[in-house]
Amino acid sequence: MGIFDYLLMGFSTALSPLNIIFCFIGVMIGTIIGVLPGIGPVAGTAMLIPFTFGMNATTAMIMLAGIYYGAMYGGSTTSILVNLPGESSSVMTCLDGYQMARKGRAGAALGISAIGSFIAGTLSVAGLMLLAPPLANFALRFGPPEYFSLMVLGMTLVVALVGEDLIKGLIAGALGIFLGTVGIDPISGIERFSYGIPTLLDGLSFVSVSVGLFAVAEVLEMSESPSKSPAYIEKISNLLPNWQDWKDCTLPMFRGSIIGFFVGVMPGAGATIASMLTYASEKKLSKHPEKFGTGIIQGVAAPESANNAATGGAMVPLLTLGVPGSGTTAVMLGALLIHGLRPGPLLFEKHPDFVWAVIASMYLGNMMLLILNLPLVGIWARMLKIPQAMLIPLILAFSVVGVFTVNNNLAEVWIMLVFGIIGYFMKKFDFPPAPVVLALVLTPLLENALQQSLQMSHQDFSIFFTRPISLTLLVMAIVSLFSPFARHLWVRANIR
Amino acid sequence: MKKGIIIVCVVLMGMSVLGMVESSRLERTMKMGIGIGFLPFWMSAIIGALALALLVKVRRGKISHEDRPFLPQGSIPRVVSLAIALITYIILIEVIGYVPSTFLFFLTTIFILQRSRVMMIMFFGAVFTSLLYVIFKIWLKSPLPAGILGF
Repeated sequence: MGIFDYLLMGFSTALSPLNIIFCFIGVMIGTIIGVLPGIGPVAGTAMLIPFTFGMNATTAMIMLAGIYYGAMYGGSTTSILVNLPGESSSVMTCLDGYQMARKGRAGAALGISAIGSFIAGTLSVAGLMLLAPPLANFALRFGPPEYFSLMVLGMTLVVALVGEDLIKGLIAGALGIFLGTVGIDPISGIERFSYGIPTLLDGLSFVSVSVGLFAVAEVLEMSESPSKSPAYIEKISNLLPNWQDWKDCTLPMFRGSIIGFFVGVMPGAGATIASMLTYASEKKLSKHPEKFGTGIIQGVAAPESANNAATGGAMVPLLTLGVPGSGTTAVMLGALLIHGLRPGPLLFEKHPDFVWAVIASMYLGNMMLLILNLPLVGIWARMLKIPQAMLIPLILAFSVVGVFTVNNNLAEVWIMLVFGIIGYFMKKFDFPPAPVVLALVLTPLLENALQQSLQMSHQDFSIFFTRPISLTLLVMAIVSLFSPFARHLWVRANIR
Repeated sequence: MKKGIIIVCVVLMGMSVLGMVESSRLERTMKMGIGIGFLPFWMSAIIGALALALLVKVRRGKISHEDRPFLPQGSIPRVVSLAIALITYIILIEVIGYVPSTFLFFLTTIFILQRSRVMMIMFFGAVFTSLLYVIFKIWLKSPLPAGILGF
């Protein structure tokens, strides 16, 4: 079967009424999450995992992916209308989007942002469709040492690129690995650090930890200051860009899509870095770089295209290699494992129906988002008026009940609370939570790969350095640890 | 903030020592491959070493945001009250059941966060409690804690 046959097969699954409904629910929740400052797609997907337990894996993943890319669409609305990025990846959109809104061009900014997001989202799904199968085929050559090195690379990239301070990121990653070892060791059957607590025998619940670290911690931080409804620009008209806007934006949108997709493929880089890189490169390529930041439409089209394209790119390492590249995809990996699917190269061989249905649903979801975002933009903007006093208790109660329903076990809710408090302190001291969740999910797989590799080599660690692919991946892991310095210099030089 | 990071480093170093002691009770090597104590032992050691490096960095003044206050002025009562409300909710949910505990949780937290009219708080408390009940109990058919009251 060729790619298009698989895609047709994917559409036949994605177009079932149930999948369409949950794709719609996913993109709608994603848009709401994107619009509301504070709660991000990681917290949103983590909170909604319990919600997916009654579904099959395909429907669950369609909905969770919808939340992920839906949040990217929603983030631009508040950036343009309120100068408040709903998502960190929409920070760059504020620069020109808000200025356009102040000049009375909010409609054009929102319109080009939705259209650019749609084009980039669709192109990135095409990229995912073309890149994922050959990469999965290549990954079939991987043995346990290569997988071990790949997971090390995934973790170092996330550690290096997510946080501001490398040491704090490394501490978070090491803590996640330590926490991932709690419970009964699947090989020896001996329990580790469970101290006779039955709930800990199966290890720390991934849902409890991620909901705690992201949702509860986020809400505790939100509660620090009383909310004030932001004053937003209410008059929104002329959502469709004019001919000149199209002329100005076509190339930035395509460049944003390409940069966004490839940055998204890199574990750890994500949508925020994609939009920053695209904005900086557009400024560099422009004949009038001084106009960036004053309200020009290219300054909205390029970063918005990039952050949406990055979501398609981020699905590549998740689906083909089983290595998530961001907090949200780590949560998705956890959800997939709970649903009994192990992402990786074999996923394409064993469950093509699942993979291609998810890919096809992303085309549909992007179309739904375009329809949702253009005519309903006023409604999304009004969501900013929801008072914090309503939102915070609702998120907390949803988290408590959601975590409880995973195994009908209150101990898991207490674990969520403990990690909520830990996550709150991590936020306060700028320790990134994403490496903890990523490492927690990957540790059982990492330990298994390490165990198998050493069995193959009779306890000789040189196996990781004598196999070319493994060695290359480890060298890349070491290089990635130096990337924060390079990134810092690059961004400083380009944003100026 | 500087003091706070120093405390965090010390706590991390303490946890690292504890982790190493606890891991050393487990086998670090086995005949075939690594033992079950290998990863936790080395991760504890790495956490300790990194915490020490962070401590040195803080002491040398290389952390840029150390002057930032830990909590914005006046926010302690809100955060602490919310945390207490959440803990009480988790305790009560299994004792008195989902419906009364969730309703009480909404009443308390909405009141803590925004002093609105009692009738309005009660209305939203009832709406949100029913909403979650419909989603989890009726739609997803998940059992919710019944408690002594049976609902």
